[in-house]
Amino acid sequence: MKLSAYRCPAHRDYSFPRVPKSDCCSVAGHGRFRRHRFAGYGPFILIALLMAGSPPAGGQDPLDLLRRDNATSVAPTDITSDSMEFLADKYQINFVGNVQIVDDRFELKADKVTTMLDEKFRHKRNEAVGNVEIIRDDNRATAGRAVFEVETGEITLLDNPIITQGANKLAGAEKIRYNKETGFFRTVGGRPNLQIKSSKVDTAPKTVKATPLHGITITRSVIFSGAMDFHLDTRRFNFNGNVHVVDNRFKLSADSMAAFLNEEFGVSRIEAEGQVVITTTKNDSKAAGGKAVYDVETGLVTLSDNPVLRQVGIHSWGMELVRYNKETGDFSTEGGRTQMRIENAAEDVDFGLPDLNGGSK
Amino acid sequence: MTSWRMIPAGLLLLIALPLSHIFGNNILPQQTFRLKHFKLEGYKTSGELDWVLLGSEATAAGHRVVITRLQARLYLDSSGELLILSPSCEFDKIDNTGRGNDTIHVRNNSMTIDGVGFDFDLGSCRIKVRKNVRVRFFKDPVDLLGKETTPAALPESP
Repeated sequence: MKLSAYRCPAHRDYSFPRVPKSDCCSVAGHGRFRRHRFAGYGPFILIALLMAGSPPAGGQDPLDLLRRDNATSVAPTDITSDSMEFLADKYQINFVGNVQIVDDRFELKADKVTTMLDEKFRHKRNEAVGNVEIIRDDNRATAGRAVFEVETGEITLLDNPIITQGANKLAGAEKIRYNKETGFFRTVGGRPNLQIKSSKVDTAPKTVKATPLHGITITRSVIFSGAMDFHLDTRRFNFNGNVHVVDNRFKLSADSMAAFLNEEFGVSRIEAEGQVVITTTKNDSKAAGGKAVYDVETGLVTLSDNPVLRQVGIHSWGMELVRYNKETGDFSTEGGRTQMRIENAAEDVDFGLPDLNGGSK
Repeated sequence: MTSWRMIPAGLLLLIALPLSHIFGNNILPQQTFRLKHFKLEGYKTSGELDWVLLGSEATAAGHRVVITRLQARLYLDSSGELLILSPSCEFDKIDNTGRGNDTIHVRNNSMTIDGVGFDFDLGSCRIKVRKNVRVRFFKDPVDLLGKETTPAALPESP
């Protein structure tokens, strides 16, 4: 056999300097054709690999696999627990004992969590049972049970759900649906009551139970409504259907209402719409309009959209705005062309607007 | 006379041998085999590869095999591969079950499982981890499976 002077560039130790060119790589166990295709490019490949920082035979060492998972994927979800059982045939993982789910938006703790997977073992759904606690920023929710849909980010809290935001506390609902991505939550069923600390009066809130309606406590004020939801990002409560505000100075009713919270989650402003009626407890004066804005800081309630006013037998209408000062109990009018009529006690005056004697027309 | 004396002993042997086979050589003294670059494969009823167990070393006694530096690959129909790594594992060849008190690392393209102390069943594809569980789910698929490793290339301690 004729030996050539060929040196295979794929060999690093040059132990076969005089092996025939055709047999070289088969002697060393290398893929003959693959290696020779890159003959002469060895130094460039080596430099390129060094610059890329990856091992030449990547993926061969299981240790690499263990190291790799920490550096990849955006915002993974971690679940830790005392023990677990992975049922691959059922696409299910059962976590038991001190279970903690952590992702970029929230943290969930529970005694037990059942995680449902899709057929590619992707995270799909969690059912948490026992001492469920969810933490997102300064907000904390507790419940006996919770269902967390990974795709939508929606969490349904069941079995005595309670949401706490600083000094504010929502409880009594049958279910609370909470979206961890948007921070939006709403109550479903039950007899919920919500305490919200006023931004003005810095005293401990007093809990008021809301009977068939949903309730919100603003220090000494309570808001009831047929349904309620809250959006965390905009810090806005929405009340819909037969809304009533009960305060020590006045009562307000409307079709719908929105309460806006400040950064400390105290109520800063309330906006009511649809057949708004204000009744003072001091002298039973009443004002009505299509809209009302209550500025909690100043204590002023501003009625607009064809407001009318009745004070001790005097009816007023035609003005643009009616203002009620909660602190002094005084009404004032602004804009428009105010008309007044002295009421005859024997007659019942109809303004053609909302029924001022309470209730909706 | 001598042949008559041998009859009870022969009968006893005839009974003991099948029993020892049934009970996995537990009655008679077992032979222990030490293997390097251990590899064991399981197949589905369709004939397709179901799982592969690799170990840098294995000590086999009866139907039990103690595998050092375990790397198990499960080939699941719709879910792709599942990789199980552990420094050591006691594997039962009859039940296709494994157990160990060391760390366990499970890898898939969508998740990782790490913990300490484990039991697994290759037949039903179930894995129990006894303590210090940490599972990570990835939103996008991640290549955590790598290429199939030869037993000799397995590391000392995953």
